[in-house]
This record gives sequence, C-alpha cells and structure tokens, in this order.
Amino acid sequence: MRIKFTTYILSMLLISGISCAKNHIMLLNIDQKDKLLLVSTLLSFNSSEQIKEAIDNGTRITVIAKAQLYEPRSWWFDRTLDNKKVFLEISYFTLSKLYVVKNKITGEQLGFNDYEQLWKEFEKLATFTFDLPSDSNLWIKVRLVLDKGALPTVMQLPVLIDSNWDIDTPWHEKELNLK
Amino acid sequence: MKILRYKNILIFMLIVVLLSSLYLLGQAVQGAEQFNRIYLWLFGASIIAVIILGSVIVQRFVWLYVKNKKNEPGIKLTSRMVKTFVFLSLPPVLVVYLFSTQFLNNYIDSWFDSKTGQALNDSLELGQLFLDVQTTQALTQTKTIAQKLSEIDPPRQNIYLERFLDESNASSLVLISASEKVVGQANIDLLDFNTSLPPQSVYQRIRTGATYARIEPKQGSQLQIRTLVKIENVLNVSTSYRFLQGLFPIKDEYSDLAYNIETAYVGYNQQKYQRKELKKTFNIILFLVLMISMLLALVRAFSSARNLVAPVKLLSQATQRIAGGDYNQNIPVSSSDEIGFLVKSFNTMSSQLAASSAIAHRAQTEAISQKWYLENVLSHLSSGVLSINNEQRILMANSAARKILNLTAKDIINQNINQLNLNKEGLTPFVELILTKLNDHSEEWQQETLITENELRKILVVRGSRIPDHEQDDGGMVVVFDDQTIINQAQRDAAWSEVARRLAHEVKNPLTPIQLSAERLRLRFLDKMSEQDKDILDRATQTIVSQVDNLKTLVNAFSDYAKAPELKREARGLNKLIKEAVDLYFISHAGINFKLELLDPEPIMYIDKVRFSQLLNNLIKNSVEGSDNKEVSITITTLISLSVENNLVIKFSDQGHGFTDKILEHLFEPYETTKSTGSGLGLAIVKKIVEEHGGNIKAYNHTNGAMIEINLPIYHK
Repeated sequence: MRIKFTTYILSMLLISGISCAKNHIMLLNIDQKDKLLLVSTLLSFNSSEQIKEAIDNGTRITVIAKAQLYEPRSWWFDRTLDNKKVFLEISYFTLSKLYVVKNKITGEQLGFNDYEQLWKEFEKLATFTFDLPSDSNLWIKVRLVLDKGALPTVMQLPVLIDSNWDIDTPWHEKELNLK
Repeated sequence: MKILRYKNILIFMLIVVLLSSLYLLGQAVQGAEQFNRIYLWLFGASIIAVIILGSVIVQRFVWLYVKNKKNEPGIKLTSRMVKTFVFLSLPPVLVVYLFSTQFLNNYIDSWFDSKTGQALNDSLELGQLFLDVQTTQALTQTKTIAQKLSEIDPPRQNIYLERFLDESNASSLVLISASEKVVGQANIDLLDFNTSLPPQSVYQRIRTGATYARIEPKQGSQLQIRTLVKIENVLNVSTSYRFLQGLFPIKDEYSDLAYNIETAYVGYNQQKYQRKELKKTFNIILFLVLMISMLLALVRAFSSARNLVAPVKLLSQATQRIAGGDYNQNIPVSSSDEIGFLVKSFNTMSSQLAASSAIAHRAQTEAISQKWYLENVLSHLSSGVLSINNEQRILMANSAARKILNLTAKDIINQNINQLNLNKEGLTPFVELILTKLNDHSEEWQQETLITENELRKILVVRGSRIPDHEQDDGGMVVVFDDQTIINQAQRDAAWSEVARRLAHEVKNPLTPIQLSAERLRLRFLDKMSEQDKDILDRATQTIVSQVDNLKTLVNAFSDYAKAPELKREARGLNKLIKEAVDLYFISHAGINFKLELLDPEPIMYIDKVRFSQLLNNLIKNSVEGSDNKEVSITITTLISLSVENNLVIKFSDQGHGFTDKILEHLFEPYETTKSTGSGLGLAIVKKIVEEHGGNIKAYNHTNGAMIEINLPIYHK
C-alpha cells in the first residue's frame, strides 16, 4: 500500500516536472569581450492562447530572465558569485496593433506586428553581462519565469493553478571554460 | 487555566491576522498597487488562518463529542448552546453572503454596458484614423528621403542625412546596412546615441519590397512613428542596399489624447477580460468572510457556552460531591448575574449542609460511642444478656451469655431462639422459659431454671423485661441471666460450714465430760457390782467411750471442714506428693493397684503441701472405700489442660461402680456418700481445698467407673 502510494506520488511529480518543462533554454552562448562576460540564450519558447488572449485584452505580463554565476560545491549549496535579472514586459499597443516587449530596467523596447514573431525574437532581449570572473571552475545558469506578482491582482490566483500560464523554463546550466 | 488563556490569546491573534489579511486582500483587488505584490501571500495567510481556525473548531467539536460520550456534567447544556448559537448566527450570515455575491456579480456586469464599449471602440478607431494619416505622412516623407538618398553615392549619404532631417518632421534618421548594422544617423537630440532599431522580422519584410510604419509608445504618454524603407542601389556603385529608419514624433496634444484613448480602451478591455476572475476573486473573498464569520460565531459559541456552563458544571460537580457526603463545597462566584446568585445560594446551602452534617456526624459518633460503651459494659458483665425481638430472633448476646450457654456468637446472633434448643438439648428449659414469657407478653419477670451441659447442671436465674414497640421497631425482650450454680454451691458450702462449726462447737464440748464421766463410773462402780452388773457396766461404759471417740472423730472432721487452717503455700511439684500418698496406701492397704501417669518434667504448682496431701488421701480413701471389690485399681493422671490456659488437670479414676445420677447432683456436698461408714465430708473437704487453691473440681463416670477431675493453675512450668 505504502509502495503503491509512493510510486503514485513520484509519478505525479515526474508528470508535473515534464509539463513544467515545455519551455526551455536550448543553448547558452557565452562570449568574452574585454573584461565582460556576455551571455545570450537560445530559447524554445511557446506561449499558450490564454496568455495571448490576456495580452490582447490589455494585460501586461512580465517575464523575468534570471542568470546566476556560481561555483558548484559537492554535497553542499552552490556558492553564488553574481545574480542578474532582466524584467521583460510584454504588452499590446492597440492603436497600432503592436506587441511591445520592453526591458523594464533599460527602457529598451521592440515592437512586433506578429505575436509569434515576438517569442521568436524574445531571446534577443534576454541577454546578460557579467564582470569577468577570476575564478576557474565556474558555471552559469539561466532560466525564464513568469512574474506572477506583476500580474493584475485578480489574475494572480487563477494563473497559479492554470497550467496554460506555466511558461517557466527550468535552469539551464553551462560551465564557463574561460581561457 | 493558563493554557486556556494562551489559547484564547492565540485565537484572538489569529482572528486579527485573518481580518487584516482580508482587508488587505480587498484593497489589493480594488487595485491598490502596494498590495499587488503580496496578494498571493495575503491569500495564503488567509487560507492558513481559516484552516487553523477550522482545526480549532473541529478540535472543539471532537472535544464536545468525547465529553458527550463520557456524559460529563454540563456538556449537554454546552452542546445545546453551541447549536443555538450556530442556528442563530448562520442564517443571517448566509443570507448576507448570498445577497452580497448576487449584488456584486450584477454590479460588476453593469460596468460593461455595450454603449460604453462602443464609444471606446469608436474613439479608438478615430484615433487610429488620425494616426494613420500621420503615419502615412511620415512614411511618405521617409520614402522621399530614401529616394533622394538612393541617388547619392552611399559613402556620402551620411553627409546628407542632417539636411534631410531638417527638411522633414522626423526626430531621427538612421541609415542601416543590409546586415542590419547602423551606418549613419542624424538626431535632433544630439545626445541621443541609443538608437532603437526595429526587430529582425521587419527587415525581412522590407527586403521583399514592403514598407514599415507604426505608431509606438515612447516615454510616458508620448508616441512616435517608426518608419523603415529600403534604399535601393540605383547608382550601382556598390552591390549592397541600405535601410532608412525614421522616427517621427507626434505632437504632445495629439499624443496625450491618443494615449488617453489607448489607456481607457485597454483599461476597459482589461476589466472586461478579467470580469470572470474579478467575480471569482470577490466570491472567494466573500466566502472567506463567510467562513470567518461562521468560525468566529462557533468560537464565540463555544466560548460563551463554556463561560455560561462553567459555573453550572461546577455546581453539578459540587452537587455530586455533596451527594457523596462531602458537604463542604465552595464554588467561586465569577459573575453578579442570576448564575452568580445561584452559586452564592448554593454556597450558603452547602455551608449549612456541612454544619448540619457535622452536627449529625457528632451525634452519630456519640451514638456509636455510646453503643460501643454499652457493648463494652455488656461484655464486661458477668451476667448474660440477650436481646430478642418479637419475631423470636436474637439480636444481641454479650460474651457472658455465650460463655454461660457455651455457644459461639455465630450460634446465637441473628438466630431464632428455637435454634438454640435444636443445637443443644440441655438449653430446652431456658428456651422454653423465654418463649413462654415472650408469648405471655410479660412485662418484667424473674425465674430460676436449670440447664445441663455435658452432664453438668447449671442453675440460671433468668430475668426478663419487655421492650415496648414504640421504643424499638420490632419490640421484643431483654433477658438477663446469671449462672447461680457456684453461688448456690457457695451458699450451701457456707451453710454447711456454719452447721459443721456449730455442731462441732455444741457437740465437742460435752464429749470429754461424757467420756470422763463414763470412765469414772466404770472405775468407781465396777469392783462394787455383781458379776452380772459388772459385765453390763463394763460393756455400757466401753460403748459410751467408744461412741464418744467416734463422735470426736466426727466432730474433728466437721471442725476441719468448717474452719480450714491458714494455707502455707509454696512452689513445688505434685509428683512427689502423689507418690508419697500412693506409697502410704500401697503399704497399708494390700490389693490396691495404682497406675500413675504423671507429667515429667512436672509443672511447678503453688500449693499447701499438708492440705494437698489431705486432698490426695481423701481422694484415694474415697476410691478405696467406694470399691466393692477387694482388688482396687486406681489411675492418677496429670496433664496440661487443653481448654484452659496454664492449668494442670489431675484425674483420679477407678474401676468401681461409678456415681449414680442422684449422687452426682450433690457429690461434693457434706453427708453425700455411698458408703455405710464415714462422715460424708471427704469429697466436700477435697472440693474446698481445690477451691482454696483457685481450682475447680468435677466428677463424672467413665466407661468402667468414676472419674474425678481437678483443674489447678500452674505456678510456672
């Protein structure tokens, strides 16, 4: 009975894990320029009709692109060296029927006529710049999550339990092979 | 009590947190930005608080169920009060909830009437039409500039940008290479170097020959038009083509209006889109409010019920304790209402009960003490006392009664008096006497009766007194009786002693003169008389002297019986005295077989040697004289008494004809003898010596003859 129950729970967790991972980061590009580390992503990102409908109806959604520079440690928590976050707000500009993606920190924005095109070029805005670290054996990991707290209040609770709004990617990790 | 206080504080804090969360939730839903970020946390906190509060209520219900099962005092009242509270509070809360949700849903729907939507759509369309004109103008200008630039050698195009910028309404003109890199730009704002470019997909479209012109939001409420056109390579100087991007600002007055239309439209659309969710959220919050109201009502119900029932419970418990006999109950008065008055009255009642109980207890103790004292007195009475009810049942018998009747308490107490008769036939006269008096309803009576016990006869003087029915439930009779056997015997002994003393005194005095006179007559007249008279005188005087001697012996015996010499007691054994007495008779009387079974080592007795020798001589003599045969067999046995502690039993038995029943009745009285000769005082003197030594004597017949048994206290073993 107990084994059966444990198997059921593990199966449910596995299924939910798979469903969570429908969006993911395919590739991390790490470039070294002067004393900076430029990190860009290659995304496999799909948005649901529900999200599009919400954006079309004036809901602004914010996706947070998170990057973390860290030193992995065995049998203990990783040592985080630096954290970066990019807040990307997606909205619909009705007057010109334009989907606008705006970096909320830099103010940089792109306007798209096509919703699908928006997501195809979304990765261009999810770029990070780190100071070149001196340590070796460092890793970098990146993920994208929906900022549920930035949604209108009445949307927050349904979004929490609606899988159509689950656009979070798992962490994508890559070792820094600094020369 | 302390735990209860902490629990109440915890519940109070929980309620405060819950109400605060709900208030903030309400604020967040109404669009308060500061609470938007913590909305989910507030919601989670509310749910957790409701769950905790619900758990508390469930725990209280479980408690109620368990206590109800145990049927604890006050729990039924608590259950009833909780039910009442719930039934009183639930309907209004439910009604408010249902009406609120209904009203809220209708109210939210009323926000979105079709006219408002249509007006906003028209406004938007108008704005779009206006902006389309602006966009078309901007695109035309961009195309014109691009046409002009295409006629210029590409390396020199940058130089002309500033001029074209001044000639147009654009705020920025940017030359972009085919590889989408900025190759030149001209800005009205000279410090603006961060030129934003269109997305990659736009370039693809432009390459196919299309043009791009779109209104874009800028900063705040500002709008701008972005245009992008392809600059054809007309001169064929280089193989590559270029793109021209133009940014055209819209006048602030138009921009503000357009932005307002955009904002209003988006806001309206957003609200409309979120209408369902808004309703759901409000319904959830109202449901939470309903739950809290219900739970609070339940908490309050339990709390109020407990407060109200607590004194009732205390009263119930105190009443149970009073019923159990603990009257000293004092309940703390916690309120000044009717319950408080009831508690006060109860306390007064319990203190009065305690006082009354103390008095009753004292009286009971006194009664028990008196009863005990009476029993003690009765147990120390030498007279036997019986209490018999009208149903002939013996209710009480003191130890003397049991001793006299030789019965155990079990044989007497609570037994019908006829049962005594059945157990011991010898008690028949005694039982019949009492039954007669009971049936006669005699008030007071006294009568002597005779009972027998193992051939021993006891004379009982029985006195009875009727207990009136009004003094005791069953009425009945108190019977007091004394064993008069010893007293009667003593009285007879005393009488005989007196007789003996007087006889000895009256007879002894003239005997010597008689004897002397007879001897003198013989001496004086014997020689003077004829032979015939001489013989007569001689025989007469001889007879007188002989009879006087006999009389003297008799008188001496009487004298010994009447006035015993003072005892000279010493501690010594009996064996030597017995053997000396036996030796004396063994030598002087041939044909006597003595069999001695004496204890060895012998116990030490405290006796007068001379008197005891007299006792032994009398007993042996009595056995010898009482025997019809020439061959006499006498057995003397000494043994430790099994019935009386620290007593020695001396048994004399012979093989004679034994005692007749008539003789046995008065064996130890003077002049009772079966012999033709003797004074009849032998056994009387023996009895007297035994009694002088603190012992007792009895006589009975064994299988082959008589047995005399003497019990004497042992000095030490």
